[in-house]
Amino acid sequence: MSKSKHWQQLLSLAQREVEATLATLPAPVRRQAAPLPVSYEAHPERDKLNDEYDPDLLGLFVGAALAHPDESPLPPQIILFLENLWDFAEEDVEFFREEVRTTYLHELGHYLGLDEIDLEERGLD
Amino acid sequence: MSDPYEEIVNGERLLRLPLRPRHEDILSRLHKRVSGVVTGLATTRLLAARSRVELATGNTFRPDLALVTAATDKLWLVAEVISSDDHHADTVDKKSVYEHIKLPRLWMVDPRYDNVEIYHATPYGLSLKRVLAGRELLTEALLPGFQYAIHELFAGNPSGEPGHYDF
Repeated sequence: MSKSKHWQQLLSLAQREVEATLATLPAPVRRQAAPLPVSYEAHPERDKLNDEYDPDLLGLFVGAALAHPDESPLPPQIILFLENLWDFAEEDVEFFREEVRTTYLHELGHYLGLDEIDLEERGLD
Repeated sequence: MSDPYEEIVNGERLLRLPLRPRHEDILSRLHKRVSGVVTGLATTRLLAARSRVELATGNTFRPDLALVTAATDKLWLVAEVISSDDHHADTVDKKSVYEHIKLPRLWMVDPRYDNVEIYHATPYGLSLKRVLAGRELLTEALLPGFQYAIHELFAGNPSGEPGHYDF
């Protein structure tokens, strides 16, 4: 499969999974989550982002949490790193979907103000 | 050409020269492309070209392109299209203020060389991340779906040579 076709397939799977996950959220949470943009990158690129991070990172929340808009000048956003998720899922489509869902919910949790302990307690570590 | 306009940089009033057609063509293209992406985002707003923005005491700028975070109206991305006969204000004076206020993203769009310099704020000041030219793509992770091939952004240079155009 060509690189571009492979990327389109990952992108399509991930976008559908995020939409499906969003649809299953309780209405009050969905209303807060729906406007939060999600972008999809292959891998974290040092020159596109600022912070030090693990090159195997699966996802990232940037910007300020909903309740603390002054904490960051950046607009809030979730970035999912699809090639890392694909590698983590060992190229298994079902596992990939599951990891996209878990990673999206993990990063969404940060936006909604949950810390790593809160997320772990909810099985989203 | 546009009318002259004024900015206040470090407490000093700067009269900016009228902008030439190529400057305005490039800016118009960039605005249109960014606007197409921002329209679908609830978290970011695109200000009108050269909107008056007060950055800090004694600094009132009119950036060519400015994005603000919707929740706070804080500036997070600025693009300045450089004019060959009036470049010092953008490339030196205003840039140092952007660095001081920790502007997260700065694009210096330079029709003299048909390239775009991408700066990110870091704890140590603005850091040059990339210089894009030719068929490279201008992208920004926080603008999902945004991309602009540099040669398309600078299209319309009849001489075909960077630096040989009246802008």
